Amino acid sequence: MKKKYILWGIFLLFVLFLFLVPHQNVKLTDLLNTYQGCSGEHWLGTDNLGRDLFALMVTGGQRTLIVVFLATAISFTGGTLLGMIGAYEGGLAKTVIQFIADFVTVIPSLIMALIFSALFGFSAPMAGVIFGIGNLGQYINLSDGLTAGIKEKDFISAEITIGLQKRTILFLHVFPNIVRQLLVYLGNNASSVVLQYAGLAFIGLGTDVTNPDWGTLLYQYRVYILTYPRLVICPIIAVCLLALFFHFAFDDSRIKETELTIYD
Amino acid sequence: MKKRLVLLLTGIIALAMILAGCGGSDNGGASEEATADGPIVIGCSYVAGNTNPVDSAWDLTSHGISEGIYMQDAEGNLVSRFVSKLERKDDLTWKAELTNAVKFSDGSDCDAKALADCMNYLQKNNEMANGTAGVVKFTAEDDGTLTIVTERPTPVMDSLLAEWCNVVFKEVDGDFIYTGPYMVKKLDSEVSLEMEPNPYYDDRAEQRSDVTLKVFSDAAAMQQAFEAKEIDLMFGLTPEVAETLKGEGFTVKDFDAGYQYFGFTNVKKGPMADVNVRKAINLILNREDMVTALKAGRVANGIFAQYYSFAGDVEEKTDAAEAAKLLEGAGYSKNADGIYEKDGKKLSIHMVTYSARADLPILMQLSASELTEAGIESKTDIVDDINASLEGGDYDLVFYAQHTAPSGEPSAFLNMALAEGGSRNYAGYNNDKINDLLKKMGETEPGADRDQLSKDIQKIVAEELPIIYMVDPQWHVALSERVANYEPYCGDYYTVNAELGL
Amino acid sequence: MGLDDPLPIQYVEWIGNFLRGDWGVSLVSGENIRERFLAKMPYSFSIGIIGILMGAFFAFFLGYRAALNRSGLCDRLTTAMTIFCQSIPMFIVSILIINAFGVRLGIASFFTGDGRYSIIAAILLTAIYSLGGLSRVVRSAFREEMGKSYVKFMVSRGFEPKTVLWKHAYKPPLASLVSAVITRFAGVFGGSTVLEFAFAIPGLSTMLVSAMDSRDYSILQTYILVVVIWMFFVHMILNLVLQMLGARRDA
Repeated sequence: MKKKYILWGIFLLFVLFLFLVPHQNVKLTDLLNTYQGCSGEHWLGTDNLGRDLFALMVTGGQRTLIVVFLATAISFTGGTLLGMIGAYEGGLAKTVIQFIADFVTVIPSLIMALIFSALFGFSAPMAGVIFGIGNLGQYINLSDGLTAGIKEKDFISAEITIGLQKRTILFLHVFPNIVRQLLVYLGNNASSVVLQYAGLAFIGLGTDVTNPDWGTLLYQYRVYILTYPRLVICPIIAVCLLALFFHFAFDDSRIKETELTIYD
Repeated sequence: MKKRLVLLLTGIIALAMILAGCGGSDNGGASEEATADGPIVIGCSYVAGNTNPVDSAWDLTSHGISEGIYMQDAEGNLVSRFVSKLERKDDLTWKAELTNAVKFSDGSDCDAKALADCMNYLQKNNEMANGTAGVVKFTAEDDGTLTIVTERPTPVMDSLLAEWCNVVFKEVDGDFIYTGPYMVKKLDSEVSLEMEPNPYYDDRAEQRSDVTLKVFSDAAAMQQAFEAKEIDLMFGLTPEVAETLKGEGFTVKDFDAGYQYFGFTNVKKGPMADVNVRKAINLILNREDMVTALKAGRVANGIFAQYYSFAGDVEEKTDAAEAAKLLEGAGYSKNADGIYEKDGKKLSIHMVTYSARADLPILMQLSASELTEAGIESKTDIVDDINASLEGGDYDLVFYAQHTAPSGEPSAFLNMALAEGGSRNYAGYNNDKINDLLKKMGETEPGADRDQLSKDIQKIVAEELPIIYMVDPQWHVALSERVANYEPYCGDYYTVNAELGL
Repeated sequence: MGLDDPLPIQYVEWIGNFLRGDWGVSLVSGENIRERFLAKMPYSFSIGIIGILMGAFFAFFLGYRAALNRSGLCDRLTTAMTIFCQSIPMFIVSILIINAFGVRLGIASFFTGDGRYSIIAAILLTAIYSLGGLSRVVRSAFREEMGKSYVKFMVSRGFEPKTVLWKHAYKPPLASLVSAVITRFAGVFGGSTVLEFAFAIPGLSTMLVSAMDSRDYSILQTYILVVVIWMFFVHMILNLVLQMLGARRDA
């Protein structure tokens, strides 16, 4: 457990760092110093217009985190809630919720983003919301399955018999029992939003290179992968660190401590 | 049970692979390897959706399939293969003598009647054709003479006949045939277009090869395809890709785009409504840097490409001190952070552009940097639908690209952008002096006088700044050895011209 | 066309026509929508379905090995694969593939010819990118079985955990894998946009993107209906397979 707190601590420090570290104004270009390597002045070097890559990564990181946070929050809370209600209520509610889950799963999030932006215009938070809705299905299915399993257990049936409120049962007794597995899923999938966002740029949405995030940077610099790979590798490392963090911060280590010792 | 499942799974995969193989070969054969006697393969970002002259005239002319009665040559002059002499009879009536030298791609003659038929069809079915002079009526007097009657007077009939919507065509059994150097062999919209030489275009048809246009959705993929020698010609290179390919020893040419990069200022509201702020910003923007970053082109001297006789003679300069003076004159002063503000409100410029023209975001980034250095805040946006932003009015400066003389004549664009109610006059700019000059221009025959009017208008614009001139760009094209001599011109209006591969 | 009728009536009429096989024509180019869908579908389908199946096939074995040995080589490999496909975009990998095989080695032409290399590359990439996630699904399902008493019992009787899992506990993980695979199948209509763009494959996604660009709502309308039908179809198969495996549905 301790390891996890350290990990969270490092993450929070990192976020603070992203928002507080002094960096060059991202808007500044410098045509005399394009494609500079790493140096004391430009920690990560400069790009095709002489913009400071470190500044771009930092401001881009803020935007990326917002999108990831929005998307994950929506799909996690929405999916968990809907899944629990569906499994608990059964009947029509379950059918409707299952349909929603299937529908958002069957329409790829890029296509959904395309449709949404045609209707409402496009912005980064908007993309977060769309991905949140697009990834809802997985969470609904997972939460539904887990709740159905819990519901069959004796203590829940007993609670239903003694007439406890539905809300109390769901939030105080079902949710704590399923949240761990949901979080493991979240840990494995949260950071995929970054690349989904990069995919958007590919189809012509969110290609705003003046307001970058890590996904847009990856898209914009893809043509330099063979000539100036540094420009691509920096955002890849950043996304990779984010993915690693989510993965280990929510991993299933508790299972190891309790049950499965005879195998290890 | 388990073995069976594994077996089943393997079976499904094998079956699916075989199916995919069949699918691949069924749908394949879209184009062949780019070998010396195979087709010339051109990488581009779109092909025509169909071969209908009302929907796709612009695309078909760009692909080298259709032709206007008049077309621009590489120097920007209007030339015609159809008309030998064009004469104005009175205000509304023109007489055209035909060369009668042109044949459709099925070998039939393109005589006066055929021309009159297709032009009248377009006048009826495409509103765009009525834009310049109202509904125009074409009558074939005899095989070699055409009478043209316009609804409103226009001094530039050749330009009207050069407008992109007026292409020569003939309908044969529901198919459309044209007169350009190439004809359609197979069109797969959004994917590729295979063309073969039109044997009746001229006596060099034998020497032409087949041409295939292949659509790429990703510029990086197109670059790889070119480096792998799978395509012969690659249009739409960004400056960086052009530089990379040059460095690798490939032939990359810069050619005059005809398009112009310029800025629409919001003269209606916001800080740019003040002419002094517009002037200050005009002085802050560094055109030399823009040209450097784009790796080709020239500093704009007006709103037209510089090879036209009616191009402007404005000189753009950068002068930070003068700009600071103007801003102070407009009531702005620098605060403690070195940012200009007025009545406690920071001077902030909202700049907008779109990504379809990859050069524009570069210009906007440079400008944002220069404004920052000058102590002006800026907000930048890259949107999908720039015209919606312009109509919405939420901008101070929009970076825009347009071919400003597609029909070889200045008044069409000037009217659009500057006249009251013009379709590109988004901010409702209105200037009596310019209106007078525009009116005079509408009555003047082409020649030195008309060119002078165009220059005068461009000079007033350079002072009033409803439009900020930026760059007269050149675009990049990468060519394989086989087509190394090819010289494209006029931007993407004639991507494929008659000289390709000769 | 009956454009004057109220919208619901038009819509019902349109669905009627759709079911009869008349999917109408594109508002922009005037092409027959059904023909276009049928021409584009093989590309997206073969990329999606074959790629995911291949990924699932290897994922089962990888997940099995990973479950056996916590923090072993395979376990780390599956984690690494998951992280890999969440941090390196497909379009970067595809550029590298084209550059290596098309430009440097010159043994494959991805953009001209019959397009077989680009399809194969797209399928392989889909497989690799689904391998990580799917193997984690298999792994955790196996771990769950390992916690159950019948497995523990057999292990304590002296059977190799390897054999116990492979011989007796493979059904629930297989069921989880099948559910996960079929959920991914659901997205093959338009889910391969990035690959189609990167390899210039004229599939469904490319068509949808350009239809949205030109605001061609007739194609979008058809797409949604096709997708809903496909969804029910996928459900049917899922329930059938899960019944075969004797498991209930949980993600």
